[in-house]
Amino acid sequence: MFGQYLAVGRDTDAAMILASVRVPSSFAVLFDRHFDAIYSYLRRRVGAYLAEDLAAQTFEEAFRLRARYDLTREDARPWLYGIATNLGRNHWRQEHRRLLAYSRLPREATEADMSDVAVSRADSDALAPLVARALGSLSPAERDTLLLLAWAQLSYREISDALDVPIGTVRSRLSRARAQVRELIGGSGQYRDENDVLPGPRWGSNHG
Amino acid sequence: MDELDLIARFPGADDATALVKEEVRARARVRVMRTVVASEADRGLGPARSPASRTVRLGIAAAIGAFILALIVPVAFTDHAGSSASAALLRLAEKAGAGTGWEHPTPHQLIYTRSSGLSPVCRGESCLLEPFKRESWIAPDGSGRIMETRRSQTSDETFEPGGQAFRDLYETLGWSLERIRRHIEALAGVEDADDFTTFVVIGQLMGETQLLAEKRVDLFRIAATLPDTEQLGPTNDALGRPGIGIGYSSGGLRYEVIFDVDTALVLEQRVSEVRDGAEPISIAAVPGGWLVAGSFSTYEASGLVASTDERL
Repeated sequence: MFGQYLAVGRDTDAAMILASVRVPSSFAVLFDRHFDAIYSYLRRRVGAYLAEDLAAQTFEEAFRLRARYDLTREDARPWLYGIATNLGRNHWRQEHRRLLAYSRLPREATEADMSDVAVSRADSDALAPLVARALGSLSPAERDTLLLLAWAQLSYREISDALDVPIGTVRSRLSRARAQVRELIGGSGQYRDENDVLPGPRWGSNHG
Repeated sequence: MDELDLIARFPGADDATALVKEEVRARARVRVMRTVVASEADRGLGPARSPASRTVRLGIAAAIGAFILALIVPVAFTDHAGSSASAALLRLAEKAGAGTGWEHPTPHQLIYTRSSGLSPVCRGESCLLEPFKRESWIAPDGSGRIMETRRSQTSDETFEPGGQAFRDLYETLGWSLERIRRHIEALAGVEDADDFTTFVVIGQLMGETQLLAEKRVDLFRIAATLPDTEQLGPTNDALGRPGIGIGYSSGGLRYEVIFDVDTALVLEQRVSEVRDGAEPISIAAVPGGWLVAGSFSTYEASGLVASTDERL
């Protein structure tokens, strides 16, 4: 798109990416704006040690791909989260181990029930092993979609941009993922029987 | 509370929302900026070509030249500790005074210049960055032609002798430093232009390729008197040409000019956003327009031609 007229707002990420095509050092602005968010997201997914490496990789990859950035998208967060998610996918074993570790934490208040709207912070901590188990049971595509919503706080449209899938696919993945999480956590007030082994991801359902 | 809230509160949420450790950010930033800098160096080599092509040989020569410059420039331009920018500007003044790369046009010749980049278009508080391409043909008598393309629109103006406002820049000789200062202040529209504005105006004047070499020397000398100019060291322009960067920061913006170390001619002007502890801004009013982070102007070609239809 470079070379055409582009109505790029002066403060937007798109303006900085466009500028960095000709003046690479302009890319530093994008790093300064978004590194913390990308790093924090990755840290929750793969742990601090890997997150630092992957967050840096995310920006290196973004820099490499900047000439192909869709400049009509002023906010680069979905694009960066998409790159980070793709890079993190290569480390799904690490993420799975983290979830497994969480799922084995003792539940101090196992009677807590998510159907109770007044569930406290302590209760949500108590439910963490079940949440971990539920997240671990999702397919990678469903987990990516759900965590971009819950952790990165992207909108459906932004998730669609980040993962490069139609928005209908985002809706259907979220619907399935949330239903499965509800079921495993025990939305009806009944927790599933616990197994020591985290349910494996459903690899066959990556495409919507 | 639904399942989404539970996931959002999943352990790690507190860590994730806590401030990222400064050393983590710093390590990652250094790594990413190394990649950025390496790409800037690579741009100087140009795309891969057939080994037998002349372009490759030129590319290799350019690479060797860039490497040698990278070795020489820091030595040549940083030998005055504490005032390296001033020292670099004075050395550039010497280069400009030698007149290398600047030819005096005969009465029937014109100075052709081609530049391109991103320039701001502002209305009120809102600015857009817009790609532009500009060509100018300026004769010693002030006649000539300026052609500019923005969006899908092209403006093409011709000028009769004496018709160019910046004819004065070409014709006037022997200005004292004080007169040049007053000229800058007149352009800036204030009696005592601050140093940032003065540096910006100097950079803009330097970009006028019809500026006499003598005038260029004077401008470098004035710039060297500004206490807070920054020497940016060896810096490539958007075309990968190596040069020496001099900048001046104010209020979160840095105006940078990249000079050819051999000729002292301007290769590129650009505006970047910097974090200097102050509230960052990305726009500043300067004489004749606005400075907006991300904007730049690269001088692609300049030289003497015989008519307003001839290009380099």
